[in-house]
Amino acid sequence: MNNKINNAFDSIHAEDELKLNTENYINSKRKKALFSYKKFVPALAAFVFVLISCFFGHKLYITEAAVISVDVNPSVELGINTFNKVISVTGYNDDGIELAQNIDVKNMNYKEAVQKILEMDFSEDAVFSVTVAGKNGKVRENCLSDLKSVSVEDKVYVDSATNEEVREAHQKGLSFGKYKAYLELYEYDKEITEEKIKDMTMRDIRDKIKGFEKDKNSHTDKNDSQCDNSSFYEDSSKPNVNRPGKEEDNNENFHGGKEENDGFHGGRNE
Amino acid sequence: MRSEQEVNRAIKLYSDTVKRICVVRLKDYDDTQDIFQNVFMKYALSSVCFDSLEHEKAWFIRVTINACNDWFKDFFRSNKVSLDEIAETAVSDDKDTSYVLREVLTLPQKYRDVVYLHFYEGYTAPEISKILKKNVNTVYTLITRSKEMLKERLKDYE
Repeated sequence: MNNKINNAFDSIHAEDELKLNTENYINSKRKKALFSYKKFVPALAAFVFVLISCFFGHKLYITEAAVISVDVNPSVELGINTFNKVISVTGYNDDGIELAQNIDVKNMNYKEAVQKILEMDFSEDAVFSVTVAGKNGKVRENCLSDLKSVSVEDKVYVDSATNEEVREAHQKGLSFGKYKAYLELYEYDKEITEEKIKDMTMRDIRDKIKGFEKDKNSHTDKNDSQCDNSSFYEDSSKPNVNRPGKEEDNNENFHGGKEENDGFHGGRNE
Repeated sequence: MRSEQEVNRAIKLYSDTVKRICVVRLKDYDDTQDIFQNVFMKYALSSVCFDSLEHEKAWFIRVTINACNDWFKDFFRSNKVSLDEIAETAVSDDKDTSYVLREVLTLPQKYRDVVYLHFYEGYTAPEISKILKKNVNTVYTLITRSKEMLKERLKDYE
């Protein structure tokens, strides 16, 4: 019986036409599959998505959200992105340019970058000024509160600056950290110029300011004892900033004590 | 996708096997072309690596049986014709089939598969149980019964 069954099935063969049709059918499908754009659609969509993500991700990464000005004598500004990474280092005097060229802090967390600069080989009595500014208020405030932890009394001053101050500083070729110190000193010393302050160390600037403050205090004490109703004090509570290059209507307003400038001086550790 | 040479080699090697299963399962020769093309298309698209020619052949048998099952599902969904009706028509129309084949094809489906796989392809009951995904004892029973049934039917022709 097995032989009969074998013979019966042996008589069944796939016809040549059937084989040829199948070969042609598969080859035609193969060609269609090769040239079908449809199979590329998901890959293309994924590629475009990745491309767009990369573009916006990169754009977000390279967009400056805040700037930190670090001034010793080298004056440098660190551009910070929303991811708290340093994306640019700009020098604002000869030493600053040299420092910006040699220091490797790009893509580093800003706190580590500032710490790295503070730990560099400066003179022992060096004074550091770390000033934060930026359009992104949240990033700026985060930076400021973070960097306050690095402040050391009479050694590392941490402060913030307004966008206007940053713009003015850059117009004068100064880092905005140094520009704020310049504004402070200018209130006492009208002889000081941007050129002179550019290469002054923060120690020199701070010492000068301290000296003037000391003189002012002793002068105020004298006035207090000599004239009780002096008109000097009438406007002393108002914010009063005499910015160089702007109209100077009251050169003696420093007698009113330390002025508040846009409320940012409150953060200084003095 | 497998190369053209690979597919042509498979067609050369397994076209008769696929055709025989189609005959055993469908009986209606006109529909074998669809199944035939689907099976080899699946092979062309498949990335399965075969350990041996036996492995490859078993794959073709399994895929052809599945393709026939799918064809039946589609056919009944669209035509609503009973299986017996098709079987009778197909067999009676086929004048070239030998009386043995005719008798095999008139067996119920579950016996036809076993007759082909066991008596023609030479698979053992455990192997058939794997291919058809049936219990081994069931396959043994099917082999014994189909043998008895065919003996009885072919007796009339001797």
